[in-house]
Amino acid sequence: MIGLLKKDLYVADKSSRLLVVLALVFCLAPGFGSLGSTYAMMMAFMLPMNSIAYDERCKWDRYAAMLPCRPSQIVWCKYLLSGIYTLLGEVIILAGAAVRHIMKPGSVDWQSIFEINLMLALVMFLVISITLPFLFRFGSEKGRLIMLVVMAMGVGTAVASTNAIFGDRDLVSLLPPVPVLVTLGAALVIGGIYVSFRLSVHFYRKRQNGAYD
Amino acid sequence: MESNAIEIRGLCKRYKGFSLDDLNLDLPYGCVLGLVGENGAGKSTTIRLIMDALERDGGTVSVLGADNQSKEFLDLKEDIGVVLDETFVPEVINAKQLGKIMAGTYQNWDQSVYDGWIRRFDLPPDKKFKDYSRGMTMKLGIAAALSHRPRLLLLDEATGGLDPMVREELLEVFADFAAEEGHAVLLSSHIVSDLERICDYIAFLHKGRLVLCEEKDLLLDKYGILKCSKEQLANIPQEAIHGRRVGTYGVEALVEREFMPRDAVVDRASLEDIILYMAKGEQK
Repeated sequence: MIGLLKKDLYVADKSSRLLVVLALVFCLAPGFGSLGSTYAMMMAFMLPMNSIAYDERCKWDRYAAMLPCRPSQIVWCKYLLSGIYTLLGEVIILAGAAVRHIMKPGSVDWQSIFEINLMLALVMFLVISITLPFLFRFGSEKGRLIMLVVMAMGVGTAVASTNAIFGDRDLVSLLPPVPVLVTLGAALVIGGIYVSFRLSVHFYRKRQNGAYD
Repeated sequence: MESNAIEIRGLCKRYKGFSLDDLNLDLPYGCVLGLVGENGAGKSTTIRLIMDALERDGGTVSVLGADNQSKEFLDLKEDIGVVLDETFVPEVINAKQLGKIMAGTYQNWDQSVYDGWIRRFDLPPDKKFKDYSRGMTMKLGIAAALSHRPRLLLLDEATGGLDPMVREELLEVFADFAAEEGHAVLLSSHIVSDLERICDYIAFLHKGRLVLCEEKDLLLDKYGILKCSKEQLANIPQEAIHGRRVGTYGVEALVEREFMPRDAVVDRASLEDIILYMAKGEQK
């Protein structure tokens, strides 16, 4: 499994360098606010997608099936890759905040940075857990498109139903306190990743067996 | 130790428009088995089924003494080196990185053996795959397959598309590997002359069916080419004729020598002759 992860990291290496530099720039530059954080987190989302696209292009899965690895390990590597880059994103955001703090003491609201980035990381894990099964089922190109359509429909439905239920009321004031929100979010992420992983392994096995050819 | 590295019984796999039917095959230790057949005959499917990379629809496959669907087979994969017709490694990776990937994949990985093969094959360690020639790519695949001390080598078209010099070099490597005690090689190839040179057994797959599986020397002794007229061929027992080529001035047929009259002149058939006649049956 370490070998599989190394392979994914080598493949991600070149594109990740550019993303890391850009994320650092966005996190350091004043005026970007949470946009920098969002960008840093996007790495966790983009790199596993790129990795799957690379695997498809070179038919890595055919070779991987010959190695002493279980399909579940091959699939888990993509989740792990996402986790590694989420952590890296967090480090970049905190490093950016630390630099801003050194340059202008008192300019950084650490509590809100921690809260926002924790929530961002949870959202990113949810997005990944929704995305990966689509990629394993439909392949990287079709999977990305279908996933975007499903997410757009999901977000659209959520916004419309929220407006219908709550009208003009201030939604932020209706949210539970941050620790409760984080606990609920973490539980949702753990459940989401579990279901997502099982689905991804199922689709991966079927794809290996030529069910979607 | 069991006598066969691979034992396949009644293996079946069905796809849309293709099926591998009732395949029975043995690969004894110490031997090289050549799997020959046209494109789409089922050679790669067979190799994937042997490695349990595909779900079979029927039959059994035993590899190195274990059923390939048993739990212990995952550990046994450590002892199997596989080279596919392309290396299937992302093009941004180089030989040095592949060594590190494999070191993290195989418990038996021996970096010094790998480095030795890289030097022997004269492969640039820092050059990316996308800049490798086909010959270099195949050599790298073989270096990786040989560096975790395998007992069984599965080679899927590993010599296809290579120039004769490289093929010669690789065939020598495979023959040396098979000569070591407790080793075996399954080599699928279109290039029948390669198989004729190093194989002990030949299995011929045609449209998903095993047409023959025999010891190569017996096969070469058993069959011959008979050149005669149509009338003379009509007097030969039909069960002796396995393919014919009808020309303007006569007939050439692949025949079994034991059924031939004593006075019949039967020329030596090459492995390629045997395969071609059997695949095509009757030709005009």
